[in-house]
Amino acid sequence: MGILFWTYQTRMGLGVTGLNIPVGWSPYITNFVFWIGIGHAGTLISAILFLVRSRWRIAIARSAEAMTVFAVITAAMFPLIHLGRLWVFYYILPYPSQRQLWPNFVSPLVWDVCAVFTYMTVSIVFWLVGLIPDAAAAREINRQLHGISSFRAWVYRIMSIGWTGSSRQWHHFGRSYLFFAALATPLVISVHSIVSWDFAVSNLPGWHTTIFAPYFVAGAIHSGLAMVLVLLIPLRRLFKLERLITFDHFESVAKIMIVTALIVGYAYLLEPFIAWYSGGIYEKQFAMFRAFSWFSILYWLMILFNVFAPLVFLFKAARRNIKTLLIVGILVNAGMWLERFVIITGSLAHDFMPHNWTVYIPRLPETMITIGQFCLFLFMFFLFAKYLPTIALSDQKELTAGFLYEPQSEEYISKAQQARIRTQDKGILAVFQSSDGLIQSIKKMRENGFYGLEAFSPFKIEEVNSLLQTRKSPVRIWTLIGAIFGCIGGFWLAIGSAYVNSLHVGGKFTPATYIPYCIIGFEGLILIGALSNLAGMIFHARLGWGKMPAAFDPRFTRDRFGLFIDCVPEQIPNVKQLLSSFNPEQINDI
Amino acid sequence: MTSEDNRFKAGFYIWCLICVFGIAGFIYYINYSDQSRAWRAMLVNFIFWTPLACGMIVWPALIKLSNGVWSKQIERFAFSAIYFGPISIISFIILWTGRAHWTAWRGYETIHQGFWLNSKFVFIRDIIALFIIWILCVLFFSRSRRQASTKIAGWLCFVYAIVFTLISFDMVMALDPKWFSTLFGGYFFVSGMYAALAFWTILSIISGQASAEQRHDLGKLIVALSLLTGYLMYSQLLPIWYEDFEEEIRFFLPRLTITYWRYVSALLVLTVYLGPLVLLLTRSSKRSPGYLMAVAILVLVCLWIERWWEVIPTLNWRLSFGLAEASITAAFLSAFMICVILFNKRELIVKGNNHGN
Repeated sequence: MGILFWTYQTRMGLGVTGLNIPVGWSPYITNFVFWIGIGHAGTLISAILFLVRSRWRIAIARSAEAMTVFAVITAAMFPLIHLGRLWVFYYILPYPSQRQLWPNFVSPLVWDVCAVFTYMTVSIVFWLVGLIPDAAAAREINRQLHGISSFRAWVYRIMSIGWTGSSRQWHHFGRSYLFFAALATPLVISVHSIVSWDFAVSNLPGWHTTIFAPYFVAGAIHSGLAMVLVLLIPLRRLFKLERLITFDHFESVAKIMIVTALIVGYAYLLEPFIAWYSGGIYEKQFAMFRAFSWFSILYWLMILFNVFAPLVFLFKAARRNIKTLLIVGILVNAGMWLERFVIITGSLAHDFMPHNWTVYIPRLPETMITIGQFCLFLFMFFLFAKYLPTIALSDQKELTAGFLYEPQSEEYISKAQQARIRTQDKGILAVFQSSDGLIQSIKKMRENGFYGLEAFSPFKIEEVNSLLQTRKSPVRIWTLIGAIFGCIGGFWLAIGSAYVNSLHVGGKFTPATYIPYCIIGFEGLILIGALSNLAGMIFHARLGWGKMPAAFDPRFTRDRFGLFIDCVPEQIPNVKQLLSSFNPEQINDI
Repeated sequence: MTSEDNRFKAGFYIWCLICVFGIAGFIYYINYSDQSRAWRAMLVNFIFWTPLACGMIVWPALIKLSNGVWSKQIERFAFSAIYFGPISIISFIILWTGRAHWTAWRGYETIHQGFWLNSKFVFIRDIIALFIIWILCVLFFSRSRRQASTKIAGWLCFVYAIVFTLISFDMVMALDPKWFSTLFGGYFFVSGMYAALAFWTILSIISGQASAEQRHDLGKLIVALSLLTGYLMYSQLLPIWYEDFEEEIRFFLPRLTITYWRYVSALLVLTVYLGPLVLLLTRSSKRSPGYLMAVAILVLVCLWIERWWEVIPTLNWRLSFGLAEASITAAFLSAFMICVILFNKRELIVKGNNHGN
C-alpha cells in the first residue's frame, strides 16, 4: 500500500498530501529524523559499548547493528519521497562545480547528504565486517549440507571473503573492528547533530536553539533503545533465544533509557525556560502555543511518553518484566515520533506572523506511506532474522574460551577433511577440542624452537595473538592516513567549491569560513578513515576469494582449534611427540 | 616519624605558605588596588574549582553506575576533593560580598528577567544548590565504603548536572543578561567533569598508585571528554554563528574577533578540545605516567584559561592577566592541595588503624 501511494504521489505531485505553505516539512521529515534516530542505538550498542568493554552487548549487538542498517536505509528514502519529483534528487548530490550548478557547503541540507551517506556506508561496512567470522561458519555448514556450489554457500562465501579464522586474520580483524568502533562513535553523534542543525541554524521559533544537537542525539539513542526492546522481545520468543538474550540484557537497556530520558527531560525543561529568559516575544509565544493550545495534547503526550514512562525503570521489577519493557518501548517510540512531529510541524504552523499560522492535517498518502515504511523496516529486519545469525556467534563463543567442545562423529570429520582445498604448505596440523590445548601447544612448540606456526580458532583468543603476532597491526596506519586525507579532502572540497563559485551565503564575508566546513572535513575523515581501515584489514589479513591455505579445516570456523607447524619431514616424529601431551583430537600430515 | 609523614608535612607547609601569600594578594588588591580585577579573578576561580571538586566525587559515582571496577585503587584520590566543600561554600559567600564588581545586571531597571536575577534570589538559590550538592557528595563518599551507594550515586550525577547548570546560568551567562544559550549549562558541567578528570589523573599519577591499565583508561577518558567538550562548544557556536543574531553572537564576537582573545580561543581549540586526541593518540602515550601527567596538567591549565575566557571578555574586553589573577589562583590551588593532603593523611591513618585491628 505504501508503494502504491508513493507511486500515486509521484505521479500527481505533493499536492495530494496535506503539505502546504507554511507546513512544507511534516510527516516525511518527521519520519526521516525518527528513523535516523532509531539507527543510533545500534551503533551505541555495537560501537560505544564495545569501546567501554561492556560484555552484555554481545548477545544483542548483531541485531542492533542490523536495526541500524535498516533504519538508515528506511530514513534515506524519505528525502526522496519528500522531493515529490524523485529525479530532482540528482541536483542535491554534493558534487563540485559541474553544469554551472554549485553545491552550497554552508547549507545544512548538503551536510545532511554527506552525513547520512557516510553513516549508511560506515554502518553497512561495520555490520558486514562483524558478520565475517559468522558468515564463514555458515559457509562451511552450507557447503556440507547443500554442496559447495549451492546458492547459500555461494552467498556466504562472498560474505566471508575467504575467512579461515587464522590468528593473523583475528589479529588484523580485532584492530580493524576497534577502529571501526572508534570511528563510528563520533560519527553517530555527528549524524543526528547535523540532522538537528537542519532546524537549529534556521531562525524559526522552537527550532533555533543551541541545545538541539546533544538533545537530538540523546533522543535518538532513547528511541533506538526502545526499538531494541520492541524488536528483541518478540525475536527472543520466536527464535527461542531466552538463554542468550536474558533479562540482564533488557535490564541494561532499561538502565540506559533512564539516563537518556533524563537528558531529554533536561532539554524539555530548558527550552521553555530559555524562551522566557531570552525575552524574545516569538520564542515566548511559541512556547506558550506548544504548552497551552490545541497543539498541547501532543506536547504533553510527548513528555509523558519520553520522560515519565521510562522512569518506571527506576524500579527493578519493571526492568525485569517483559510486558512493562515492551509497553514502555512502544510508548517511547510513539513519544519520540511525536517529539519530531511537534518540533517540525509545530514551528512551521506557528511562526512569527499570526496571519501565517495554520493547522496541518495529514491526508491518506502520507499516512499510508508512513505506515508502509514501518512495515518495510520490520520486513527487512525479519528477513535478516531468518537468513543471518542474529547473535554474534564468534563473540558468544569467546565467552566459552577454555571449554572442551563435544567430540565429533567420524562422518563429520571425514566430510570436513574432504572439504579442504589444498595449497603448497607443508607441515603438521593438530586439531584441538579446546582453546587451552591450542595455547599450551603453541607455548611448547615455541620452547622447542618451532617458529613457523599458524593457529586457527572460531573466535579471537588474545593469548594466541600475543604469542604468534608480535607486531602491531599496520591497519592502524592505514586508518590514520585515510582519516587525515579524508579530513583534508573534505575541507578542500568545501573551501575549493566556495572559492571557485565565489560563494557568499548568509552575509558571511569570506567563502573560506572554517566553522561550517568542519562538518564536511569531519565526515570526510570518518568515511575515508573507515574505508581505508577496511582496505588495510583485507590486505593484511589476506582476505579474498582465492584458495584457502592447506592447513585450513572447515571445523575451525565452528568449534575446533587448529595449530599448523611448518616443519621438514625429519622433524615430524618429534613434533607429533611434543603435541601428543596436549591430547589433540587429530594430528595430520599436510 | 616516617619519611611519608615528613613528605606530608613538608607539602602541607609549602601549600599553606602559598595559600597565605595568595590570600594576602587578594586582600591587597581588594583594598589598595584594582578591586574589580580581584573580584573577577575570584569569580573565575570559583567557577573553575567548585565544579572540579564536585566533579571529582561524581567520577567514582559515574563509574559505579556503569558497573566499572577498574578505578577502585585510585578512587581515594578522587574523593580527596571532599574537604574542599566548606572552602567552596565560604568562597561563594565571600564572592557574593563583592558582587558589585561582577554582577553586571545590578541596578538595571529594565532587565527583562525580573525576579530571576534579583540579587537575593540568586544568592539564596545558589547557596542552597551548593549545600545540596556538597551534602550529596559527603553522603556518597561515606556510603561508598559500604557498597550500597548506587541510588546516591544516581542522585549525585543528576544533581551535579542541575546544580552546575544553575550556577553557570547565574554566574556566567547572567554576566551579560542579554545573552543566552540553552546549551551553556550542559557545556559548563561537562567541562567541569573534564577538569575533575584531569586533576584526578594528576593525583593518581603523583601518588604512584595508578597502574598502566588505569592510566590507559584515564587517558582514554581524557580523550573522550575533550571531544565531548569540544563538540558541545561547537554545537553552541555553529547555530549562533549561522544566524548571527545580535543577542546571541555577542558572546562569541569579542572572543573570535579581538586579536588577543582570538589567540586565546585558538589556544583552547588546540589544547582543550583537540589537544588530547593528538597528544594521547597512541597506546604508549596513555600508559606513560610522566607524559600522561604532562598532558593532564596542560589540559587543566588550559581549562582554567577557558573559564577565564568565559568570564573576562564579557566584563572587560581587555586581556589582562597579572598578579591579581595569579595570587587568587594560587590561593585556590593551594587550598585544594591542602585538602588533598589532609584527606590522604587521614585515609592512611584510617587504613593503618584498620590493618592494626
